[in-house]
Parts: sequence; structure tokens; C-alpha cells
Amino acid sequence: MDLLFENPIAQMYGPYFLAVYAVFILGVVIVLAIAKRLIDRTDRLPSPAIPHKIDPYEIAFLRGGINELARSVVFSLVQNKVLEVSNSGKDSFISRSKDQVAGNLRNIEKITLDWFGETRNAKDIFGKSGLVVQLKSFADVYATSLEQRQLLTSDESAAGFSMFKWIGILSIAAAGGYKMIAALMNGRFNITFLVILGVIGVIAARYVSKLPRMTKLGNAYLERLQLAFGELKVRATRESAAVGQQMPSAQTTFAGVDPLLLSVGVFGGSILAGTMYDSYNKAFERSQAVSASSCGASCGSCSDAGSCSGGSSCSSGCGSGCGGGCGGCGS
Amino acid sequence: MSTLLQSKTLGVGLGFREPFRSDIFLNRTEIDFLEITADHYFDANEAKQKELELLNENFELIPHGLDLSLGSAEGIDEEYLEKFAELVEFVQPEWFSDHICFTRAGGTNIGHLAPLPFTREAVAVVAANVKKVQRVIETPLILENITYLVRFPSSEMDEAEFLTRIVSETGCGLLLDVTNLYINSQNFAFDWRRFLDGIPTESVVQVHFVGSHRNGKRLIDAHSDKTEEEIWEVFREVCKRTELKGAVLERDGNFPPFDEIVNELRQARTIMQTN
Ligand SMILES: [Fe+2]
Repeated sequence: MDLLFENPIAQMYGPYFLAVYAVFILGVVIVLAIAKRLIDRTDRLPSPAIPHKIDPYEIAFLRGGINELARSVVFSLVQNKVLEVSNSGKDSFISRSKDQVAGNLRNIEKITLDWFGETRNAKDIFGKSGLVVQLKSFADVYATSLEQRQLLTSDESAAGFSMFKWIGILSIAAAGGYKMIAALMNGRFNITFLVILGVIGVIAARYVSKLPRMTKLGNAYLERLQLAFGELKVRATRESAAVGQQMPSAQTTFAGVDPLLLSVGVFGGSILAGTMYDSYNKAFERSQAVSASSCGASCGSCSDAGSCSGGSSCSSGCGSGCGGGCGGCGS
Repeated sequence: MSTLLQSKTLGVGLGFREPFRSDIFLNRTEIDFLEITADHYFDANEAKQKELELLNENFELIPHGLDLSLGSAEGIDEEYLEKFAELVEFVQPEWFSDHICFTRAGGTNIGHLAPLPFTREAVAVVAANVKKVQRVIETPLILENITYLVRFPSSEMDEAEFLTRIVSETGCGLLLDVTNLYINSQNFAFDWRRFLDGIPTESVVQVHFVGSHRNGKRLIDAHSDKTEEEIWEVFREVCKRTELKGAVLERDGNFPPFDEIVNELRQARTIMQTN
């Protein structure tokens, strides 16, 4: 017991200890940051070829998770005129069109259309009983495939790194806690700066050890897709530029994919601003703003790759490649 | 030619132009390979370098040069050759190509593909320059026939013999531009079939095709028109005479909807497979 609280560290003069502690925290944070960079070695892999049969929904999911997946499916149905968007006051509503008969729909589109059996507020899409819940099984399939191709951080990688993260965090907490107890045992109660520094250290360690949702390879692949289809985005949005005009039907090219839907998948719905699909874009801008301001606990719970790669989309990887389509944690 | 014989058959490709970028990825199954203009990727900025990487990761590429100036008596520009070599090293193509012409004279770039007189001296110049290229770049070089608006009175032979001698002196394969052949045959009233009789058609590795463009009394190679039946006929005849390793649609302007491009590629593929 004597040795525990009667040693140079325990009895170190407070300001000196704070300096040593700050250096220690900095060291832990740097080690965690380096370990995070090293754990993702996918930048050494060749970028995957752009598939012959391209799936806009998979790209949307890669770019922004389940919320972007839901957005792109809804856009496809709006484009096919089986869903309608109306903006009223601060709310946007999406409902089934009365006259249009749904043609050949994919399963994911059928389930989405069924969810719109009644008129829905656009923001409800992302809620606890929202469309995103209905699309979870599709998102899981995409997530598994993208993880296998090393485009998304896998649960295994996240779990492997988690040990490093907790060692770092606990060592910061333990060092601060020990000094605090030693100070209290020695009758010194001026521990405010020590507590503040410890809390900052733990927060910093947590922050730097958040694994991005997308791997380096995933980012490179998305960048390649955006380069490949940049011209398509310009053309597709130009062709749909006149707001208020009659909406054209979705087209299929030789590759069987609509250019505008693919552009939304690759770049996000924000590219529709100023086009005849502006009401769709505005509906999601509004719902995004609502979700972002009320994200609270749900945001924190999926900021780590390991806890949201299976479907949730509010990730730190979002900012790197969303193309403007998913801001905030509600995205 | 020996290395060329080992080159694999690439099929039907498209001359890559930036406006095609999205469409080529949407129609990948229709495009067997891409021919890139080599000069566009020399001293490439970041955007062009990324474009090159993107294309190289997704397609077989064949670099096609504009400015080796194989007919220049002053020789090959070493800096240009070095850049070409770097590109070929990066792309690792089955072959690369340039034109039988000169584009530089007295150290100045003249800005277009100028024809050579069909003389023994010109053959020797081309052969010497090709040897220099071959010493630096091991990948097979194939040589393309160009269009011309004048024929030199000093010519000692016809174009077919000129090409034959170049092939024999250099060991290079030919990139036969069937549109250029057709245009020359119309502008100078010769029979393109007799031209084909006069060249070693087994040396034709690749063809270029696109529509010709009428400009007054003459046809020109504007690369802006749909391939017409007369040119498909030349293409068909070449396919009957040799087993091509590649055919490239060379469209540079007046871009149509991409399904028209795809239809031309399909037609070329059908001709290659059935002749
Ligand atoms: Fe040509």
C-alpha cells in the first residue's frame, strides 16, 4: 500500500503530472490513429472493375447506407410515376399515384411501394418503424457482399480494432484515475484540471479510433464510379432540367439501367436540385434536416463501423464520398 | 511480326473520347477494348491520370499515337518517344500504333498528318525511325495508312507497294484504316480491291472504320459520320482475306446517341465473325 501511493508518480507535483499526462494522452491518441490507418490495408488492392450489370441501389447503399438505399428506391418509384411527392408547409408527403399501374418491379421496389399503402410523411421513412426497417434484409445482403469485396469495413475488422481502442481508452482513464485517488489519499482535492484532461483524453481516443464505414478500397471504388459516370450525371440532369415540365418515363439503356437513377445512386439525390424532380429533392432535404436535428442516441450508436455496417448509414465514412446526398446522422 | 502473331485477338473496340466515358461503362458488354489517343496521356494532369487508371482497370487498352512522325528525315523526337514508352509500360497493351506520315519538319510540329512521297528513300526513313522506336519499346508497333489530298509526282511506286515495302523492312503489322483506303480510292479513282491485292493482307492486325464525309467533290476523313455501306464492304473484304485481331470505330465528332455507336460495333462484330 505504501509503495502504491508513495512513489514518484503518485507524489509528483500536480502541474508536472498534468504535463506528463498530456504527453501520455497524446501518445495514446497518435498510436490509435496510426493503428487505425494500418488496420485498413485495402489501398494495396486493385480497384474492383465496374460491373457489367450495374446496380444503382448497391452503389447508393455503399455511398450512404440504408437511408441512401431507401432514398434511391423511392426515387425510382417516383421516376416510374407510381409514387408522388407533394410538399406542404414544412412537411413533405409521399403517396401512391392513383392512375399509374406498377410495372415490372424488383422485390425491393415492391416492398417499398407496399409501405406507401397510405400517404407517408417523408421524414417517417427513416423512423423506427419506417421504410428503412422494411429494407433491412436487402441492406444486409448488400452489406455482406460489399464487406466480402472489402469495400465496407467488416464486423471482424471492427472487432479486431476494438481491443486496441479499449486498451487505449482504459489506459488513459486508469492513469488519470490512479493519480486522482493518490491525490485524494494524500489530502489534495484540487483535481479539476486532472479530471478535465482525463475526460478530454478519453473523448479524443474514442474520436480517433472510430473506424470509417467505407474502407480505403471502398472510397477508391466510389471515386472511380463517380469519375466513370460524371458525364452521365451532367447529361441526365440536363435532360431533366426544366422544372414543371411533364416528367419523362424512366429509360433503359442497352445496359438496362436508367441513367438518372444510376446518377442518383452514384452521386445522391442532391443532383436533382433544379430538375423536374425538384420536389423529391426538397422532400428529402427537409426530412434530412429533421433527422439530423433529432438524431441523438441513434447517431452515437452507429458512429463506429462495427455497429452500423450491417445497415445503418450514419457513418464517419459518409463525408468522404456522399456526393452531397447524405448529411447529418439521419442520412 | 512474330510477336504480333502471339498477340491475342481483342475483338471490336472503340476509340475512346471523353464524351463516351459514361456510355462505355453502361455498355461494357458491347465493347471488347478501347483505343486511347496516346498523346492525351503524356504529362497527364491528375484528372487525366485517374481517367487512364479507370480505363486501364476496366478495359484492354491500345495506345494510338499521333506524333511519332515516323516519316521525318530528322528522326524521332526522343522526348516524345520516352513518353510513349512510359505509357506503353503502364498500359501493357497487346500492340500500339501510329501513322505512316510525318508531323514534324525542321523541329516544328506541322499540326496534321502529312503524307509521304511513295519513294524508296521514304521507306528507308520510316524503317530507320521504326527501328529506333522498336529499340525503346518492345511491344509490337503497327502502322496506319492515312488519307492524302495530293500525290507526289516524285513517287516511285503506288501506295500498296509503299506499304508492302515498309512492312517488309520493319516487320511491323498494319493498322489498315478502311475508311482512309476507301476515301483515297474515291478521291484518286483507284480500285480498293486491287489495293488489297497489292498489300500483304496477312500483316493487317487491326482496322479502323467510321463513315466518310463529303466535302464538295472530295471525301474527307472527318470521323463524324455513320459508317456507310461502301465502307462496310471494304471491311468485309479485309475480313475475308485475313484474321483480324481488332477493329476500332473511330468517331471524333457529331456524336450520335450511343445506341447508334453500339449498333455499328455489333455490325462490325458480325462481319468479323462471319467472314
Ligand atoms: Fe484511322
